[in-house]
Amino acid sequence: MATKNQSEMEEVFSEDLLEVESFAGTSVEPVEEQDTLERLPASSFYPQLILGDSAAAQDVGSEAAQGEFLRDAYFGSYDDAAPRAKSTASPEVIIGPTDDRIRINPTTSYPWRAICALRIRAASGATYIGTGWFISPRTVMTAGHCVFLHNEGGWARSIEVIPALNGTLRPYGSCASSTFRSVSGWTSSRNRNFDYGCIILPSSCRLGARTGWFGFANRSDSFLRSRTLNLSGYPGDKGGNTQWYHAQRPKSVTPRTIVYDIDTMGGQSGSPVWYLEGSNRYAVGIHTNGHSSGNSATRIASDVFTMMQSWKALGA
Amino acid sequence: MQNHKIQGIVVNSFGQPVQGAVVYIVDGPGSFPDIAAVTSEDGSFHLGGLSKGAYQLQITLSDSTFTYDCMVDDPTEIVKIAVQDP
Repeated sequence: MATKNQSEMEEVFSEDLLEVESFAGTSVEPVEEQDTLERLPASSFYPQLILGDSAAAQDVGSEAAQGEFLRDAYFGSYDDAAPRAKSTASPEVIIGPTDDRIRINPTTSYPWRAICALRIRAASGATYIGTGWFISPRTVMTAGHCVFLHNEGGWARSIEVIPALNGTLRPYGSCASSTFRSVSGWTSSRNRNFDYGCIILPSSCRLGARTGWFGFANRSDSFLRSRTLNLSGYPGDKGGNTQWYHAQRPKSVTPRTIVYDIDTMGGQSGSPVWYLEGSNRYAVGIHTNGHSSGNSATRIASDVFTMMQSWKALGA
Repeated sequence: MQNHKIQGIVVNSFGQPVQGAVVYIVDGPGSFPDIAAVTSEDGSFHLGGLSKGAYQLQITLSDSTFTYDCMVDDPTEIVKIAVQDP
């Protein structure tokens, strides 16, 4: 019986380990192996229970289009009497009766410092907030809809990347970039399964060399279902300037997505979804979507993994 | 098809545009992009990639948060949201 179990474990493992790309970072605090939950900075609040196709995957990139801000034509078409929004005493939670997110404070230890607040300036002039994370000194992974905004003229005009933003503190400064990459499955087809992209920082701005970066991996369905997945980013309901974390096992896994009950809010698009193995962090998804019945990430499938390898090299 | 969008403006109790409010979706009929818009100088914002149906928005301004319910029927749904000054 023991032999059989051992054999099954080995067999599962050999299927699980599909593709892995290395990380770079050190933990300030020792990390114990207890499932795959992250150990949080001392001052963070602990709750009682912490607990495609090849054409679509075609690499596309652009220097951001330049343009003047255009006042929206609809501006003058509103009714005079606007409905009054209701004041919300405590922020709504997307999934479940309680808000389980935990603030990361301070943000200067790894892996938190490798996660970045994004200030996105669209081609139209509109501003958005999102989240990104380093996979090399100058490559910041994020959602495709953070770099290519279909309703706002396509490629962003510029994005400011702020690693480890913590209130008014910018411990690593920030850099702006107008060089982006995504895939045609997103930019041409607007296919949710290909909603991922990256920001390439200028050669003079190697912020990731100071913060470290995440590894990433293409793992099997059974592996993903068995692991606690971590997600941390910059939610808009907290103003978009503080980092918040939550972790759960996934609800379901599809060939292109990972669905989970990890609490998120608008602004966390682009956040890393990762598992912890010893002191190693491997991203397996890029958070993109909210839904009351399950938030979701673009899964790092084989073609996504390959594309990320090439983008990583661009920002090495 | 997720090609609908909400175009809106946030105003204060005096009807003046509110700049810098963070606007995002907290509930909807399907999956929606988890990005947040920041209102511009004229108080305007856009949230795209949506399907038809009922949505709940939240607006965070300083330390105050407001909710707003709207129905998206047209490809471009136009809303005007009044919030109380914090």
